[in-house]
Amino acid sequence: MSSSRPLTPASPKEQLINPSRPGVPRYGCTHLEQFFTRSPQKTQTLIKYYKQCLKVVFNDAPSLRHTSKTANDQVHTTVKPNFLCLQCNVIANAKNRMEHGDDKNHRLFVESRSGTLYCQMCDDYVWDPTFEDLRTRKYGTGSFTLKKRKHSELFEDNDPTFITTNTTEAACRVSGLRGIYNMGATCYMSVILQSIVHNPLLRNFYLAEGHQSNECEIKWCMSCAIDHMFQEFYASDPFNTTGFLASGILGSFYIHKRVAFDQLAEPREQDAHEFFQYITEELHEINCGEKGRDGDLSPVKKTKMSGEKGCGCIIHQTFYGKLQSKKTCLNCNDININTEPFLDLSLGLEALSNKESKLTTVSLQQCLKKYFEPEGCEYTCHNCETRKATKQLSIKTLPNVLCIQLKRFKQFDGLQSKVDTKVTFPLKLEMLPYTNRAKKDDASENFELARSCMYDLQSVVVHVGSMDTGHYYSYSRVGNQWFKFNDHNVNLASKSQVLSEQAFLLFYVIQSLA
Amino acid sequence: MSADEISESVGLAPLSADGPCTSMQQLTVQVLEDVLYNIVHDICLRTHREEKIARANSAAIAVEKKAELLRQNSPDEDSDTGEARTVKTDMAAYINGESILLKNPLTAVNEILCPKCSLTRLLYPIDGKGARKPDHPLDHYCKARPFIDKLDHDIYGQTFKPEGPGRGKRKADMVETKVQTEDPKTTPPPDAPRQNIAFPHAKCQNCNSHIPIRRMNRHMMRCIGGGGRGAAKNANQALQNGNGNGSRGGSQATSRNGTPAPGSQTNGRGSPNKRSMEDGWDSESPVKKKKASTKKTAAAKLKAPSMKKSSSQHSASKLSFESRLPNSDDDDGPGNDDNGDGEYDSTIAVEPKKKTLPKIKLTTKKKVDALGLGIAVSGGMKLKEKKWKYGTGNKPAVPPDVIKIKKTEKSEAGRASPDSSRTMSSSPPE
Repeated sequence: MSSSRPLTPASPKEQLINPSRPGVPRYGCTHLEQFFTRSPQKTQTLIKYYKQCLKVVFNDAPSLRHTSKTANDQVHTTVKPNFLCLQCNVIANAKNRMEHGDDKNHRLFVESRSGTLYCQMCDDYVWDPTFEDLRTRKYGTGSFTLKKRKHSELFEDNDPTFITTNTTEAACRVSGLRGIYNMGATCYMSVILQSIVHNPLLRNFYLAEGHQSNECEIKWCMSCAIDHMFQEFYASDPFNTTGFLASGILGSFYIHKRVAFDQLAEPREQDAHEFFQYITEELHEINCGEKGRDGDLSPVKKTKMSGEKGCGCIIHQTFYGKLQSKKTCLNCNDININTEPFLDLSLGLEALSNKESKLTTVSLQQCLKKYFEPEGCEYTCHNCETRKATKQLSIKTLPNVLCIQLKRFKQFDGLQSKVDTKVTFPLKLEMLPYTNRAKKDDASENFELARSCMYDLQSVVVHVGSMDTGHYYSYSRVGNQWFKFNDHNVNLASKSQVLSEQAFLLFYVIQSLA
Repeated sequence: MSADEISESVGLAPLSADGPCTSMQQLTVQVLEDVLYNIVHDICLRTHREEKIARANSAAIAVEKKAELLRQNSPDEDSDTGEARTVKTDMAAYINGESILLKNPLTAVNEILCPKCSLTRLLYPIDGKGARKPDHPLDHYCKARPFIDKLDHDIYGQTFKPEGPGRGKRKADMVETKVQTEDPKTTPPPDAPRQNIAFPHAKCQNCNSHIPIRRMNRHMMRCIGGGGRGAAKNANQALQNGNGNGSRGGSQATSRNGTPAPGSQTNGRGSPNKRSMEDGWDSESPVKKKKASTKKTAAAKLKAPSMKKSSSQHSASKLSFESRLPNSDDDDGPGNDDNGDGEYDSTIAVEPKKKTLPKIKLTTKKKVDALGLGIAVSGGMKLKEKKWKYGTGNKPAVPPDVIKIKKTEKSEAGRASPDSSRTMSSSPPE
């Protein structure tokens, strides 16, 4: 629930309570202040207890924290929130919390659904900066420190004075919300650019001078153009609320178009997904420094090379995960496993909608399940040389930003048509069932693992119209608010509006980052 | 679950009165109720969190601001006792560089202050759904305002005509005016002079010309080379040879100020224009170019430092190209006009050619030239309009252009290979 908040920088370890920052009160409430200011030891134990409570809340089975004992030793289990006493190991429900407080003089509780601190003297939930910091970190990454994921260097602690002296703070008005003018059938480009602008990883990368445009030697560099776009969106004149002119990006696009995307570089309506693939590949090469060096290699070769090496560029960090395909020979049960990186998941809709023709709507989870189901394939076994085998895909490494394409364009007998099946998609998506770890420990419920596989919906690209002609627009989330981006128009959007759309591309951001 | 309490609770759905409820029914109702409770609980908690943190921070900001003021007013004590001093408001205290809450901020704090500018946040949109009139003038508030939710307006209160389903018609969905959030008005009549041009022009980096944004895609395809691979190679070569230095290098010699397209007012042009554009560009250019280039270089140099990227800089050689495009759409503001007579000519010429009526074009050119010298200084919309009218209204047949056209084709072919080749093929004037 708190996932939309950016993580606050970690404080040094020896410091128990977060140092006071300007504009933020040091303690959540006056009573907590009393607890914290009594003695360092007591503060330490308090924080230790809070961490334990959080572990119970987030890691253990829910039955534990939802079971409480009433005064006469009756065991009482509820679905509703319970309260864990911060000062002893009693779990109380909303009714006997008061009794416990009077009884033992314990006044601080931890709510069992979100780990929030409840102060009985305020009779209110308290959002103490120190505890809140612990809670969001625990909730997001599963640990109290930040060093869990590779990319955490993006959030690395910097000296705040260094930051303030060397950067200009964005004006209050800057929200990063601008439209992008349609340059004549370029809405396919606009929607992808919008999803990039609102991608937290790429935003941090570019706003942290990840690509230094003034030192870039590539002419018409796409990365420079994207950098410029981020500057325009987040740093330029705050009163410029009109659309953004993406001509620079278009220019780079035409100049650096690739053999593989030859069809794309024409002033017609194009497939947004193809453009997404193009732009990620382009940015990847620029960020790896490969661009220009081996310009003669075919793009296929290049991706292969970089895939083997395990490229560490921002694009790979952001979008790439690893798929594992397991081929099992039906004859001798020989298993062949290989992994390959993937940029996105392209889910077919046809199979589902055809098979159960009564079904008018399909859920995203059904599509995913279908995609990761075992299927027959042509494969020559090493041992017995039979040709029958099953192949099952699973995700070995989850990407930070998961791009899902719903294949709405199909070819049938040479005729292209659009699949209009409605696909419901959730705001929060759990990917654990589709990873290769899912089967191993489905018995032992690992809540922490499941939570680390949670994704939040970030952007939705919608296509309206037919196969031949149509229009793209997109939705993106800023904080908890959704916005609709239709070329240069930006509007507020409700969640229900977003969820009822016929999505074409979905961008999910892993929860620990969002 | 909580089976012992079921009897006390009141079900959401009325339990069937007919017979005794089975315990399973009761349980089901209870669980459903609890789940609903949890959903509401989570939503409330989230909102509570946002609101309370914002208010607590506001209290801290307010007290820090007060402390800062006090310190400024009494600079003497600043160095020695300033640290130890306590500043209090009724919500928070500021002690030793720390702000500490004195009360529950949810009850004590009414205003939310912006952490950046420490001004009050406006809590209601000033227009559209849920709008309220602010108590103070808008300067009083932080610039981050609630977004506006109003039909046909975007989140900043800018208006645009509602779009048709899907793509919408090209010009039908243009932004007519940008309405300031301070004083939202209704859309002015379309005839009114445009202060803010809805669809701006952007600079093509390849040729440095200014193109209406809606034409950019087509233009770039032609200019840089879309379709085939060969075109891209050519463009790359051109780049390496230094022709394409445009945007980054800021080539002064070729740069020009914005193209004032006389015919711009007509928003709704059909596709035929676009095609014709190509034609036009060949034919118009020769005479004008020469003029334009000389004048413009001078003008450009003068102006060059002050120019912004977006507004100006066209390469003289590609005048013709640019000019057509702008014609079809909107003009840039009057500011761009002043530098070149030549520009006008060229632009004008372009338009007429769309329909393959060379005569018209010619006439316009002449008139423009005649006008252009005198008018150039005064520049601006009026001129353009006049010219435009001339061009459209009169259809005198003066065909000296054929010759010109041929020349131009040749000359331009050399400069921009991809463009010229296409234009030639596509445009048969007469």
